[in-house]
Amino acid sequence: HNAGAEVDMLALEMDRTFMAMPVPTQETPAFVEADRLVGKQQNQIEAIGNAILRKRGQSIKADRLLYFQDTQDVDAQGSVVVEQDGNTMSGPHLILNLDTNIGKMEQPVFYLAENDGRGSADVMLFQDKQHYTLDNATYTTCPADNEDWLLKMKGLEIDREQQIGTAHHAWVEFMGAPILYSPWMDFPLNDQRKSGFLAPVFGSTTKGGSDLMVPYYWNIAPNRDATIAPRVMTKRGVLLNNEFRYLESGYGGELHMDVLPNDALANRSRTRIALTHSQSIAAGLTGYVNLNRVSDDAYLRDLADSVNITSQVNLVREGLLSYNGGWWNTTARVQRYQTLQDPAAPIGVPYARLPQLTVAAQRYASGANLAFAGEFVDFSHPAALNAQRLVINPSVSYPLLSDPAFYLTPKVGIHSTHYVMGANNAAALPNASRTLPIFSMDSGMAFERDWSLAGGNYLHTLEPRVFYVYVPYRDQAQLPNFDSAQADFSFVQMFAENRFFGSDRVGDANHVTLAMTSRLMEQANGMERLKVTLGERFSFSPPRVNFITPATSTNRSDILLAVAGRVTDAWTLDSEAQFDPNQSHTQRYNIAARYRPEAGKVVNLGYRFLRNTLRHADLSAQWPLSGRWHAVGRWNYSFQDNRLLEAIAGLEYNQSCWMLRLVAQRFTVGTQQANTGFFIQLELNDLVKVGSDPLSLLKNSVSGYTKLNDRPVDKASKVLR
Amino acid sequence: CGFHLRGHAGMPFSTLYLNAANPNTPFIADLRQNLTVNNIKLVNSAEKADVILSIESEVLDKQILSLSGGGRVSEFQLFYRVSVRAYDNQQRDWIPTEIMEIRRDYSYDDTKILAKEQEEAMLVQSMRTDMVQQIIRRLSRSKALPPQ
Repeated sequence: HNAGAEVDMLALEMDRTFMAMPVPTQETPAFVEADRLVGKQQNQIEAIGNAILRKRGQSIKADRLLYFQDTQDVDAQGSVVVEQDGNTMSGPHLILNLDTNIGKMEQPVFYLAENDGRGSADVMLFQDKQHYTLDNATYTTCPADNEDWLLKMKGLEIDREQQIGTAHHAWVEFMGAPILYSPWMDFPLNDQRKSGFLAPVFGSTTKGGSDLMVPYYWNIAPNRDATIAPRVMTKRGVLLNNEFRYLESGYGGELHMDVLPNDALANRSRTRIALTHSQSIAAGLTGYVNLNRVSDDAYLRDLADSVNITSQVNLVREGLLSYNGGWWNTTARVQRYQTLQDPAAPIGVPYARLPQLTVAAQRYASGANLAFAGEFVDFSHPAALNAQRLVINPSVSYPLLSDPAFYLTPKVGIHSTHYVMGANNAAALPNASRTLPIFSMDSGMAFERDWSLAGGNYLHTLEPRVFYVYVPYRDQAQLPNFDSAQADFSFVQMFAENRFFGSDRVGDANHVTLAMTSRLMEQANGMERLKVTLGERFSFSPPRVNFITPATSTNRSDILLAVAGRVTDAWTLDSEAQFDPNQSHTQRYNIAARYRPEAGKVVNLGYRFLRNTLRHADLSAQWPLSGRWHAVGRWNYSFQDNRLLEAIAGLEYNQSCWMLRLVAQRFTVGTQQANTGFFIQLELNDLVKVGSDPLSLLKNSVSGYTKLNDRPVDKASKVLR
Repeated sequence: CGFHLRGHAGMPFSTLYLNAANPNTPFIADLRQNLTVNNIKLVNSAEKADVILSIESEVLDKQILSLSGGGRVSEFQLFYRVSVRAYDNQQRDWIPTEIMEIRRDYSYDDTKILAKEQEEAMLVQSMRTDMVQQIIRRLSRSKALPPQ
């Protein structure tokens, strides 16, 4: 009797690596073990007491098991457990043909390992290897003793071939009360995308009233999809949000077309179009298009629900061609902006660049670094002076000393600019040229010492840097300004050759910048715990080229001090101060500290000050309260304007298999305008989010925010490694 | 006070394979250049390398730092995040997976958008340089960690 021999061989435990093995086939032998095995007739085995039948990757346990070897039929009774790929199904009785996979299980209770989901049904029919049907099925991701929510289905069909599940008369019961119903729904069984309605989004805003959006996702092809989302706003009407995405080997892009045909509040139709498209044309040659247009100035303020969008003033429309040839590259761009005016505070519109052409190149030759930058722009504006401008800027630098402990690099360049004036030349400015030599010398040293501090071993560094620039003075008051502005004094700017951004002004310079950086790094791994930088610029003669008149130039720049670092694993500090030694006052300072001892616990404290311009406090936090409640919030206030810029207050309730988020938000959208929004969202883990979604708001506004019901990282990383 | 000039400490390994999700970015070019300057030989296959440096992602992000009373942006913050891991062919980590982040603030003015575009480009360049330096410093102090 060969079954007996096989039983002896297999005293093994189920091995999880079996999961990766092929699907059982007729040829795969089955193994049976039990307290007592009885060979009833030819090819028929009865296993009694702790009976287990194993076939690769699948096991059937039962109190009593009847196995017909010739037909491959199995009849299992009493505490039947079928296990496959970590998923289990239990019930009192199972009839199954191992060969055809046709069979039936009564009152099955199943568990899905992938997402800790579980469920039950009155009866489950195995139609073949790929198709199953269940009657009166339930499903939940709640733990075993908890039925806070249940998805109930009159009928459920599982199609493993198409990877689709189809439910009939499905509804969700939350705390025993039905909250969602659908007569028919289908859903993908794997991560594949599938066309269908997404969960509805509802909420309310002061500017739109009550708000309901029902998105439909259309999976057109594996590389093309669309989302069509009609949004009903009680005060305004129906806004159709349309998004279309495409991705091919050589190009890809995204198109938005939103239409509100008849806004009841504004008495007009309103539209938004946004297109981004990237195209790879040939080796090194790429193209890019970014087009944005809204029907009116107030469109974003009225219809968008996040500060990131309502604060946008200039919407870009541009096309770009660029070629990268390795050591050189070139671009051609046409660019224009749509400026959205706030009637209470109108601003000038920016210049269009029709076109802008640039060339940049860099080569090393016998130790020298040769660089070239060239730019041609045709500046266009409906009211202000138009002109064409050509800039040529070749330079060469040569490191005289280059060592870990010290370096010395002189650099010489020429900055040559030429203007040809065009339309709207009210001041009758003549065509003009300006050519200036630029000389700079960059040098620095590095000292180190080992330092034991508070039980830790650190590497402490001192890194002085000296940067000298010479540019002769040239009167530039008669030159136009298209793209230039005085640069803010910063640690990056103090080591730049020009005090201005843009090419319309080249600041005269005969100054030296002194800076000292000191770092504290962990000996063990080089992690930077603290970095302190101090710097100031000293001019040998006061700079004369200035935008601001009367010029308040002096020989001493402001003093900058920055202290930053991840001081401990929980505390992060970021601060900077700018002190004006001439007027003996602090021009600017900001401090930001973050305490994040673990995921779900974070406090951010920030204060920013810019003399006569800005005084902001910004506090945000996510912190557990008692029980399962967590608080989240932000308070961003301008003391300068005595105005609340953004406030968020929220509560999150994190139950094991669902989460409730209640969030209120108020933010500034224009002079004397604010928008208030409420978000109420119920998330049934791994099933559906119902309500309006505050998650992107919380992630953007509360730095370090954690989505509390995300699966623990260790569970996810096991898959990755 | 114990300070001395920084010495030629060198790197704790001699060959490196740079594995980047997107190998054609200016950051990767800078990193290659800096590794070469630090006497690291870049090899073209992971098997031949003492250490494999994996740049899993490189993200540039911009967030509003402060708003004016009129709801316009008065300051932006730029974020530059690079996910780094260094390991060897025995699957020992030299630098366990970490997201390194550099931030820069700058004042913003919608009426000076063309100048601010150039300021942003300069800040991005400086963040890239800083990031390369931080990675080089971390590599120079790295060693094979016992497997967990």
